[in-house]
Amino acid sequence: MDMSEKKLFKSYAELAQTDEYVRWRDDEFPDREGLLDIDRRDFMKLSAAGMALAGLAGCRPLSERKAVPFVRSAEDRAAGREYFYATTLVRGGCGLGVLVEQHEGRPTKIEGNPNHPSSLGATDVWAQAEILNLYDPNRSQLVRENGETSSWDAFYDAFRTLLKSAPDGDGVRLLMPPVTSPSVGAAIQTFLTARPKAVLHQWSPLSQDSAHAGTEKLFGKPVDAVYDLSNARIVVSLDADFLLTMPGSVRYARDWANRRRVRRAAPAPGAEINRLYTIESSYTITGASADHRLSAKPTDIENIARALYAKLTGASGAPTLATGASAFLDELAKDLAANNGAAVVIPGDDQSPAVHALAHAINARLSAPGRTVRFVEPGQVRPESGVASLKALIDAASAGQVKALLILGGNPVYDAPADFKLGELLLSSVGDKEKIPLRAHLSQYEDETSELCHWHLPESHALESWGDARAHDGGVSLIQPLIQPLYDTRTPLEVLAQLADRPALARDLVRSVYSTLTEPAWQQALEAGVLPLIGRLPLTLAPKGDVLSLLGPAPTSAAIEVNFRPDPTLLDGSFAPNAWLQELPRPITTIVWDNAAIVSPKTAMDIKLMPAYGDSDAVNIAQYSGRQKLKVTVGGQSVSVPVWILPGQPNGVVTLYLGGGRARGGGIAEDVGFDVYPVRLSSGLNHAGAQVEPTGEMWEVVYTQPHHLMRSEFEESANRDIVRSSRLDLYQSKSGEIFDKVEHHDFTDTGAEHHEAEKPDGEPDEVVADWYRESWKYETQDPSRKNDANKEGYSSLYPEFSRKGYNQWAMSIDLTTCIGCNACTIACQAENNIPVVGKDMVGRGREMHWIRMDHYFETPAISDPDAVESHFLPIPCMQCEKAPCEPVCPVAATIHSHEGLNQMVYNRCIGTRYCSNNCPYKVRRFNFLKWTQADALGAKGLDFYREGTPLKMLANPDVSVRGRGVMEKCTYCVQRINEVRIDAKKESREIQDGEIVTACQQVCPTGAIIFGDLNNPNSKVSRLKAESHDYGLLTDLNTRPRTTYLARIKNPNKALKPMPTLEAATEGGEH
Amino acid sequence: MATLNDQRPTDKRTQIRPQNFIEGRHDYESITDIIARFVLNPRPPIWWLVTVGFSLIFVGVMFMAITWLILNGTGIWGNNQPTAWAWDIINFVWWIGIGHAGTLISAILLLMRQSWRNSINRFAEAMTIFAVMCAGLFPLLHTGRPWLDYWLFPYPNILGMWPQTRSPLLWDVFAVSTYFTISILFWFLGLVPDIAALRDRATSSFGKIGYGLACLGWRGSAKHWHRYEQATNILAGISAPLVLSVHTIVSFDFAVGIVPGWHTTIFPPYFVAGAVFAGFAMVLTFGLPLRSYLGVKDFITDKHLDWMAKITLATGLIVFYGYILEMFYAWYSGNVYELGLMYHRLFGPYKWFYYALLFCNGVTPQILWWNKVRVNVKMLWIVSLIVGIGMWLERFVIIPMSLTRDFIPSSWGYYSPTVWDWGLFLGTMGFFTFLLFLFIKFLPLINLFEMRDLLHKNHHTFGHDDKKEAH
Repeated sequence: MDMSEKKLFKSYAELAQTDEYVRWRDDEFPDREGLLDIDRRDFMKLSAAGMALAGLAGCRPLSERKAVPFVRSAEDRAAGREYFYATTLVRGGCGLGVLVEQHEGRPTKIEGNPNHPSSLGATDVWAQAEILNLYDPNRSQLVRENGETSSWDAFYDAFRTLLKSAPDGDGVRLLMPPVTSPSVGAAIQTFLTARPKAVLHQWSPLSQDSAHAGTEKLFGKPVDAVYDLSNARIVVSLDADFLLTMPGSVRYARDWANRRRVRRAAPAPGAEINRLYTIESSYTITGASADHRLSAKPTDIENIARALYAKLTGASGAPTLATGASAFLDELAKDLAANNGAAVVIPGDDQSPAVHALAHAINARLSAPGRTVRFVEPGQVRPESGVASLKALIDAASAGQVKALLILGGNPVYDAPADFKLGELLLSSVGDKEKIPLRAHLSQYEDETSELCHWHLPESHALESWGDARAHDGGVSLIQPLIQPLYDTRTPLEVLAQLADRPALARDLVRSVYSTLTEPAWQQALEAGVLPLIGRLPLTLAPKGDVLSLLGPAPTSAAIEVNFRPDPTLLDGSFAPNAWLQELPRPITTIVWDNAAIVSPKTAMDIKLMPAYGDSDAVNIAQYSGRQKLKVTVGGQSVSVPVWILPGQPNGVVTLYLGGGRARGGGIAEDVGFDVYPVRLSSGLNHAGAQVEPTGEMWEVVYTQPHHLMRSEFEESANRDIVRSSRLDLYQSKSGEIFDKVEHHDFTDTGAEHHEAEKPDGEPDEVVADWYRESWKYETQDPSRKNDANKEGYSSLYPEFSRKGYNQWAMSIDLTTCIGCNACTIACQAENNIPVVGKDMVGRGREMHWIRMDHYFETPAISDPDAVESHFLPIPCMQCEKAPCEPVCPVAATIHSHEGLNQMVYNRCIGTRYCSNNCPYKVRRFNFLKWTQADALGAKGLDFYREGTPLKMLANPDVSVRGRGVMEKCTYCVQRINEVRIDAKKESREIQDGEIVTACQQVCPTGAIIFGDLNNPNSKVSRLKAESHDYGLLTDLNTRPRTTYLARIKNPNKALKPMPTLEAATEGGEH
Repeated sequence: MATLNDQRPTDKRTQIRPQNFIEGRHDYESITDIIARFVLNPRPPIWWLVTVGFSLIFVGVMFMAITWLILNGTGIWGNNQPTAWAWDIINFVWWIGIGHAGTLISAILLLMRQSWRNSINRFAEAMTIFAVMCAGLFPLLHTGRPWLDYWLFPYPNILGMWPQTRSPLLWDVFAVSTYFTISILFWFLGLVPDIAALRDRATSSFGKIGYGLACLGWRGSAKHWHRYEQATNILAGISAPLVLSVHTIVSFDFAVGIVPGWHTTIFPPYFVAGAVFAGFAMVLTFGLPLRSYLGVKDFITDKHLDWMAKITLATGLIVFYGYILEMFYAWYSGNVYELGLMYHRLFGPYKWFYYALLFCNGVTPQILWWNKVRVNVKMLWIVSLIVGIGMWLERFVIIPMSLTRDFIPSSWGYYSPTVWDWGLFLGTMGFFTFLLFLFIKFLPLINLFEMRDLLHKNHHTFGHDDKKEAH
């Protein structure tokens, strides 16, 4: 008798399925009593039992190798104390060594690893934002088959079933982003050995393909170029955004900045200051930081590179350029030639292979290899062209040769070239059979690609993974988990091993790659994060001669060219689910929660986007910028993207940022910004000729910094004196005024000017410094400065409070080295639990960032992109000595500490907001709504209070999470100060200079922010404040800010057009 | 009857040129009859019911706005960075200003023996109290955490925390609460003899008991009157400086701040004048219709209108002078921030508000130079409305317009109100109207006994009316 026919029953009621029985069966607690029926004793018993059993719910069956917290604390551990572990984060295949702060087993903050060559202790915005990705509630948590919850075993079974017919892997295709990890490379090798007919394809929208193709042309083999800017006196960027998006940017920014620190006490002042020329096709922060900038269409960059090559080598066959550009190149070539061996040309990843070939040919000519650039074997394990590789896959799939497509990482349906029509291919079928019968996608989010695959496989976050990665210079560092995976996720490494039928623990897989390392050396590598002696040795390569003839004909440019760029915060779109990055103002434009089509004012007039009222009509720009959509058509495909008019953008170029307009991928990413991939074709991955037309369709782009004039509108000569800049030669010549703008101040005290003029040369340095200060209008008015009338230097009728015997915290920000990358803003957000408010709220002016990156244009003519200069001004709380916010608080919620901190007592704050009104720097931020709770009136934000949300683990426990109705602001990271102070007290010693590092200081790639004790005359910050170009913001208000700035000093080439003067400073116009 | 000009003053305490502020022929009884008629009428007229019903809807709106505010936070309003204060403080200052006429009329004019005040002081005082109630709502609600507002008051607590005495907001707390307390005492004290009169006339038992309790056993004995006079003079003495101090202190909220457009020494006198200006305008706005609906034109005569209009004109000129000086100082200082602000006012995105302000408060009151306008009820009413709007605009110009343009251009912003800003503002208007209409229904709009006293004094001055036996 078959089992299924047997009727087993426990009672007749069950057999009959009586109503009473069914009710009894379905009730979870049958025959229970109501609360009122239970007496007190039973209630207590049940409660106690419930409490006891509650612990069991936390128990899961343990599989092997779990990361578990200490059962008994180790001797050197203290509860509440944070610990740092070294690991590596990977962006675009390039590893960035980091130290992750861990509180009681949960990672809370990411810092740079000083040992790592790509980091040197600093990080970028993406590394800072990774911590939010880890706890993102929208992250994929489950294996899904056709949308239904499934399991890993089910997936592996499905794959094995498919392989039964072809155990050699025939028809199996892997699609991955370019693989740089040695252990993943090894796992791929293992897989391909086990399934010899399987094929690996690699695709990423942002790649090194051009660099590889270019170096292959020049040297005969693809190599990676690694720049050593610490040796470079002249740096030329050929469309290379090496300060922000290029691999190794953090390191490059540091090396570049280290040669730009203008100090009076330097051995030979200014002698070592480098000079940056940027020739670029979109306005980037690298261009904004340049001493000289030449804007050009993307295709023209190649022509410029050819011309520069020709000028340097005397080669013939160079294209003729416009007069301006030609004159620029003449001087540039002279400057380069004069600095042979100390100059470098950096080609951009978005540029053509020819530009890379030319740049390295120029580098070879300038004796750069071995000094300012070195070439190493590519970090990519199997270098190949992404487009070709993806095309091969498409062709195979179209021909029906692909049985199983395993997409491990990446999001190709979203970011593959539009003409490949990958999405359609995935869904296409022959008859009633699908062309690709098994499609699986491993990723951290259920995204566009997951939607078109049968299987979605959740990928582990980097902080939950074992692995390894190569730095930009080829050095290897390890990835170790900081936390047990929050969900049942896997890394590509584990999946590959499983698919190759060689399952192993991820740690062992990585360990086996480094089997030559002894166990102590391995442990040491884990601790340091960096593997010793596994860097790449520089290659000695001989460039082929006569590059120009090698390259073939020069490209021709179109009237309007579209330039695809990685979004400055979302990159290729992979960071779109991150709310911090969405709300991080894009450098220069300060756009948030959107991406825009960037055009220059002149182009905007040319394409009839705005009327041509005048040459530099700033009002006009403000009116038409970020208001309506522009239709961009490339090769028959078109997208409509809101347009942003940006002074400094090359004429005739529409820059489109990738990464917006995600259709799927978690609540934050969806329907934010605009997807421009539909016009990114395989023939024009980086730039292409395009047609544009204004649609008239309205769209409100939200940004954090409105456009206003910095000078007085009433009296044009009166400047608000907010950013100060000068030239190195003026700084060095002690007889002249260092700030040329001062000359133009009509109402500067003329007596002071005569006074200056009488000063003879050769005064001792101290005097010279003071004299410089006097030449600044507001410094002479600073009442706290001692002079004949004010002998005590008092700023008020009351005697100064003595700050002797206390540490006096202060900050100095060097505007010369600030590149405006916004890393400080997001680091502060991560450190201080700063909420996200959403597009609508930013539009209402309620963003919460404690340190903001102000940006000002300076230009005599807005329509000339090369005449536009940018100034960045990071503004944290100034921690004023005489803080205007303090006396106006009726409940004493903001008070001054004896260490000079302007403190905010959240618990005492009732939210009158008077302090914010009275803050001249407007650095205070108010919790207008419950930002940290669900759906702050419809905004896209982060809900820290939802039941069971992983975000609860995100917050830094040393900083409170503020509720609504409370004012907040920069604290100088008081939690970090207190921590160091406690340590110092325990050891009965003074706090050492540099021991306290604020979050913004720690993250800063260029080291522009210095924090320390003013009462220590030898502290870095004290010495910086003694510099002659130190200045405070709005000191005429007698606020006496503790945060001061070192004026921006540029190092222009005298032979070239001088910098525009600040008098013409404008910030795009007024509203 | 002797003509007006023949009479010489017999009592030096009265006016130098005595005038009769009661028109028509009245005796004590007719005064009481006319004024108390409306109060004692058990069936209120339809216009009263409609207004009360309509204002009750807005009271509902107000409570809805308050509830939503407390549930969600200040973010439901349009306030932002840098405009941390906007309609909340505009409306606070506006209402407080409106509350100024009452005290000025009742205290200062009393001390100056201006007997014409007798017919308008009662409802002006009532308006003061209701306006201060509306005003008080805003600072209490505008805080981020209103449930902690009690921290603004000095009270002994285990935290050992006292309010921070350097903050003008704390001075506000004291100024406004003192003002409110004194105003209520003064108003109620003046009501006691009248409530007794109503008690005597009430026919309903509800009225008898209610008025009976409220009049505190007033019997009208000479001793009562003696004490009454003493108390009135003391309270008037206390409240006279309050007229100046309250709005001076409110102006400190801005003058102490360093925001361009706020940080000026001109603010205290300019605010006080503006407050009296707005207060008289509001008294006219409500007084003119009520005067005719309640049939008390004999007591609130054209002469009253004329004089109130003159005070409006005088204070309006002071305010206008303030505007001119602000502009002058911005130019004269050469200060880039002040200049920038002035440019912003004249040519910025809110320029029409500034021009409207100049029109409402600067230009419009000038027609009050004409005698005919001052006694033309319709014209006067329109002017008073325009002045009310103008004074609101003045606060708008001072608060959000200054905050949106301060020192660093990167933090400049734009402000626009939300539906909840409107809700609370219109709600308080409804609340004010509602309370005012309850007041005129249940208490005498005009001071009964002072009118009778005035009549008595008139008899001394101008002689007895032949036909009426009164003395």
